[in-house]
Amino acid sequence: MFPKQMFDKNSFKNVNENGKIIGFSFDMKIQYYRGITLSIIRNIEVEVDEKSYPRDSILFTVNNETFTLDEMRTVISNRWLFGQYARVTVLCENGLSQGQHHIKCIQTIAPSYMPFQIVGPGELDFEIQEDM
Amino acid sequence: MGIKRGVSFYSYQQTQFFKQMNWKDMIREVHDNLKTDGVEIVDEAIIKKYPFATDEFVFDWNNEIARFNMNPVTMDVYLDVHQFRDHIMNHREAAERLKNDIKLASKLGFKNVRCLCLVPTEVIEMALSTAEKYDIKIGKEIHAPLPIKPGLSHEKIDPVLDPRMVDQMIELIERTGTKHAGLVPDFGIFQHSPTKLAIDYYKRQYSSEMIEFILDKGKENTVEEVLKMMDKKYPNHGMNFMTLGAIIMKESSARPEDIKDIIPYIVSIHGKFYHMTEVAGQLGQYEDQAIEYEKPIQYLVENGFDGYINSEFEGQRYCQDLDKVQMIDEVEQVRRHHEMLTRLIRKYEK
Repeated sequence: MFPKQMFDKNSFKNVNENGKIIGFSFDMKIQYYRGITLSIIRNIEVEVDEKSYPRDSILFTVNNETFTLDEMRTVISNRWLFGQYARVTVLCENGLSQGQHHIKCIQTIAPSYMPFQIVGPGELDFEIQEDM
Repeated sequence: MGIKRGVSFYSYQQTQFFKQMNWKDMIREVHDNLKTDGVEIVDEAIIKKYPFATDEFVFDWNNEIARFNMNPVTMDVYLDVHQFRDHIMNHREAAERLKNDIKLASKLGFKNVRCLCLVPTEVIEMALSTAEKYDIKIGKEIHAPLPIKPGLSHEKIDPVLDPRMVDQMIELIERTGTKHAGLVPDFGIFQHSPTKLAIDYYKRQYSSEMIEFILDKGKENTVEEVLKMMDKKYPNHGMNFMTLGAIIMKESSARPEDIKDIIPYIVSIHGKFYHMTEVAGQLGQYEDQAIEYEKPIQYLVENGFDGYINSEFEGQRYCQDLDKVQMIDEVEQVRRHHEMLTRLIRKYEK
């Protein structure tokens, strides 16, 4: 739907935990025309500067709850609303270097009635600024 | 009496995505600028706590509807049967969900729920007593590539849809005598040619050369035959049968005259459209060049249809790969659609 506009361009940042960079995060909206329960999400794939990250390094946060992709498989009590930003955190040592990067992210969802899963890819150039 | 106009808020999805309008703004647009009262929603796009609705939301919604004297016509409901990852919903569970959606629609003042064409008739039958209790009609959508009456040539485009769907619903209604089930025809069934927005979009997504190849081969061949040619010439084309079917469309999935026979069963109508452009030589008059509107509206008026056509704009999806400034203006497209609806309804109501 919105391959360029699904991301919040200003949300890309490294994640600092206890003085240590444990990964990076960004915010994105669902590529569909309605919201879904989290169990409908089949996959979220992240590739930055042509490096792809393993499925189990990805965390998904929405409505103040955080899940791994495997945990989300059975979550029917939390919804990713239409137009709502969810935060994707990618765990990786040292995060991303300061400066320009390019992200490709693919959302795969399985709503009820299509004979195939819906794949929503997006791409964006973004910048990681100096750590706060 | 007669044909009334409304809007499905599905039409404003891009505007909602960019947070330029919320559902209250949409109600205002329908009331102030389209000068009508029909409202339709996609439950899972508007109701935050779906499958529930908070008391606050129910109050807020009903207040807003009362304030502007609007008419909640139809609520579009889904059945995400894959949501429990350890099993696919069985028919009893699906019926429970549909009953829940009926109660939800009732709380928000809707008269009908629209369920998808793939929902088994058995599931609808299992929810009928709830529909009757809450006085809500269950309307099953007739969505392209379904016909109204079977026997047309393109029926094999979709491997899962049953072209006898309309007959199956009528059989259910006649057998049970219910007044709480019916049909929601979508004007997409009267789309007779590809919309130019879509062709341009697919040229950007694939390649101009491949789309020209499809358009050329599509003149003389079926979707299946073209798919075989594509597999040979472009082994990694990645195009599915539905997209291919939309590009080489040569005839509509339903005949306009077939709508005459189902009028007593129509719950409400989806006024699907993709692109309203000015009629040549007619300043301020608009049409969708890919969809037949005039004949179905004529038949609906002449045969006494009393109900709503709710605009369902879907052309935005063919511009969303572009920069934001190049995207299509949904609000303007719906206004143009209502110019056309108003003009055609008046023309035949005399």
